[in-house]
Amino acid sequence: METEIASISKELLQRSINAEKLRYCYGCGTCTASCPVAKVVPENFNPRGLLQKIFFDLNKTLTEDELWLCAWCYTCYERCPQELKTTEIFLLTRNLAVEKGYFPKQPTALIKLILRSGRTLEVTPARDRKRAALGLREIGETVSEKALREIKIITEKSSTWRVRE
Amino acid sequence: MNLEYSLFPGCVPSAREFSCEVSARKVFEALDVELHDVGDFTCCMPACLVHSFDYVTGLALTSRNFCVADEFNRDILTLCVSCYGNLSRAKKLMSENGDLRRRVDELLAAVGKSYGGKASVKHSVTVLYEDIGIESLKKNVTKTLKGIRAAPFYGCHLIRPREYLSFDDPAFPVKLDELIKVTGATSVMHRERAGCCIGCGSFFGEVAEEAALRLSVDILDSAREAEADCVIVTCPYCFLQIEMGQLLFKRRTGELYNLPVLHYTDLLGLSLGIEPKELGMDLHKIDPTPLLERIK
Amino acid sequence: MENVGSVTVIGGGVAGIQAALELAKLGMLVYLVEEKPSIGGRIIELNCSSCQLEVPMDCSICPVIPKMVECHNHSNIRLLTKTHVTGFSGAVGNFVLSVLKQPRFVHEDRCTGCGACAEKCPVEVFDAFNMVQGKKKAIYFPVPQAFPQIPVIDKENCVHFRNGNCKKCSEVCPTHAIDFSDEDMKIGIESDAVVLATGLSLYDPAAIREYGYKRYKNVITILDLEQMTSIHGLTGGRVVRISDQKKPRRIAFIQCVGSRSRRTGNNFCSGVCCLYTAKDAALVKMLLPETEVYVFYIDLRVFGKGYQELLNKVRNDLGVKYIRGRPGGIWEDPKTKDLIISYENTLIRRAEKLRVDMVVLSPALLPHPSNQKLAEILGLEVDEDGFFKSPNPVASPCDTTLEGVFTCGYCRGPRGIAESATQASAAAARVAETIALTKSRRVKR
Repeated sequence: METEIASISKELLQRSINAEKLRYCYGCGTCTASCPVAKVVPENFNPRGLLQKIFFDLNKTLTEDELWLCAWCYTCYERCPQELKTTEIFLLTRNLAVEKGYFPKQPTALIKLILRSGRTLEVTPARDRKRAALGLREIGETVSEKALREIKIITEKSSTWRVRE
Repeated sequence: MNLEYSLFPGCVPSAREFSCEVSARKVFEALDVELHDVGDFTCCMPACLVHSFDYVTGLALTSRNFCVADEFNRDILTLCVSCYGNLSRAKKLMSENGDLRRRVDELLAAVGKSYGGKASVKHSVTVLYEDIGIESLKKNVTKTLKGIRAAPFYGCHLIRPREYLSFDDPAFPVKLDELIKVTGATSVMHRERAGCCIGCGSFFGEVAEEAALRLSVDILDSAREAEADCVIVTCPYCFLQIEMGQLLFKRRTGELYNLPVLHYTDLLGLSLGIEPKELGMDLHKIDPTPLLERIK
Repeated sequence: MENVGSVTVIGGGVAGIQAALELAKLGMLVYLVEEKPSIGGRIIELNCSSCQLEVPMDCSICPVIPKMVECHNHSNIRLLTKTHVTGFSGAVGNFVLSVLKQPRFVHEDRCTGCGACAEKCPVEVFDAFNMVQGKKKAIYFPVPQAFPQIPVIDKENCVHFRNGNCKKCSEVCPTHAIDFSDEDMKIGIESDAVVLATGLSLYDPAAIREYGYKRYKNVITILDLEQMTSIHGLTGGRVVRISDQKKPRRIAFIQCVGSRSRRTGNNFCSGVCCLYTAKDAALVKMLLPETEVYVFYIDLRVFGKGYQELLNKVRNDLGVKYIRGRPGGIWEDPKTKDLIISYENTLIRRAEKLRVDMVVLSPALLPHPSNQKLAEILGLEVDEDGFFKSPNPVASPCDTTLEGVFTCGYCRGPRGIAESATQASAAAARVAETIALTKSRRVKR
């Protein structure tokens, strides 16, 4: 069952990326022109270039940090004249990178935190007390037992998360 | 008003930035809207992080929250636009992509769940605009904030992409401006009003953090050029970025913008006559006192 | 002399006029049906500027005006303006078209084109986006070089039609040509063949909301610019910002607005914009030598004799700055009404912003929206973009899917002025062949 889901996932990804009509891109630059990240760190991120790299040199691109700099704002997605689903393409490509074994440091640490606590930010006992002082419900260091268990079960079958461990 | 919602606070209001939840709860209480806590919610499992590792598993984790919500007969109210966007995206994908839905349901079956998709996803701002309405809000305003120039910062996932959510026009949104006007304040036109704070991407490493800082400076410049007295945000991530941005900038250059950042519920709450402390405004890192003095 | 046959040409633009003239000279009786009050099509909406340019260019109006006069005067041509097709029946050699001629409220055979009526008319209608007319009267000449040179009454804005209280135009007309009782006229035409020359329309760039057309005053289309630079225009041919009538110090042209786009559904390339933008950029540079002129493009498509050379001159000698990068969005500075363009200079991989005084958009050029309806009435096919289909683009390019009906010009696919005229001659040849053939068939029987 596990192997089945893992291999289906890969096929789904490949199909999804091909289905997203990458080759329709004619490099107009609307995405980079609209990108908040490219605006402030142009040397590190260029969505137009990244898209072309995914098309021309997928294997090398999977190893690069640039893939993880998209902030997921959907501005390029809204404006692309060829309706390329840029934001989703980057997401799918990240999946491929992780499957190949490239785990970016900080996101991986956050995934571990999610597995431990069900959240992307820590609620320390001190913070929980602060909540109580403000009249907010105390929520504990992790989400409910049941929820945490369910997260574990759901993620168990994922090849990528297991490999990382 | 007989409105009830399942509250989906999100990680930032829960763990890091409490004024958002304090403010929202106070305002909805004043408007007679009931927010129910739901114990089994987890992080919304954002696509840019969790789905980036595994598309299908990530979607299953997000959908799990819907299954939890569907146990009650209520819609979901999020405090964070990232949660709003992420949940809306999941809802759309699950309702339109039979292939994905099947795979997600396979995973959910292992925990005895299956995706129903009954509950709608809303955000505090969409509830105020759509479910309560401008006219109704106007009736509740007791203190006009006339003379305050507020720069709205919509937040990416409140308005984009149209494919997943349809609250307002992505190119030229107007609804937050209208909501600001309800309080009597002036909503100013500034170039970054529909921009991005890179909150969602900021935890991806040093470059991302640097990008987030530079962008918050750009947003602050934009608000300052338009002679705004404050920035109004709809998302605790944006709140953090634009506040922390000012502090980090000060550390780097010695200059402090000193532009108060307010949740929209703060602005509304003040116009409803609620005391700033009750809205959690004393928790803000950029002191809003000079602004509050003017309102008195 | 008896006519060899009769043909209806639908559309009175460059192609339609050329086809009509060719056919008239071949001895056919030609009905030239045009829905606007004047023939001339898009050509007469453009400026006359090429003579001013030091670079060799297709001129637009000058070669066409004598043809328009000829059309008007030729004994074999019947001009039916303000007319469109409502019905159709029959087969090749025996078509019957029903057309509807809408009222002009001016007797065409009495009017001398003196213009006294327009002068006296008390109603001014302002159209901010009509650079030539700008302010026009309720009785007006459609365009300065209108053919026929006969005004038309804008019924919606005319006081007489609103409440019967005004007859100034009628009172001052020396030949009593004004006729308020003019009505729709239904006409039946018998034709051996039909030529379609319905031409093009402009995509409305307001749909690309991030560019702010119709929201930001200083964002205009290239047609607006053409009309502005016409000496008959609102500004007397000067290029100015609409917001404050000041001379722009920096202008940006943006290409491919709405074309080559799956997003808008106009997937095709309109073919002529790279060239006419280069021409207009050069014109602006010559009218305003101190002004910086930018052109934002994705690709440059200027095939044909002399056009790459023209582009080289425009970029190098005239100093028009070409930047490869389609802008993401435009923001208007609320105080100055300047426009800030966000773009990526893709050739050097840099995302930047440019502050300009004016933006000129080159929108997609689409086949005329009436093509769909016309195709239904005639019983022939258009493709998914609205162009008339030919059964084989190589073997029978001028033909349509209906025998005896031919096409020329933009209604068949993107093409320029010279090409449209050439195709018109080709269509005329096809008509002549067809008529000869059907006549010989009849004789054999």
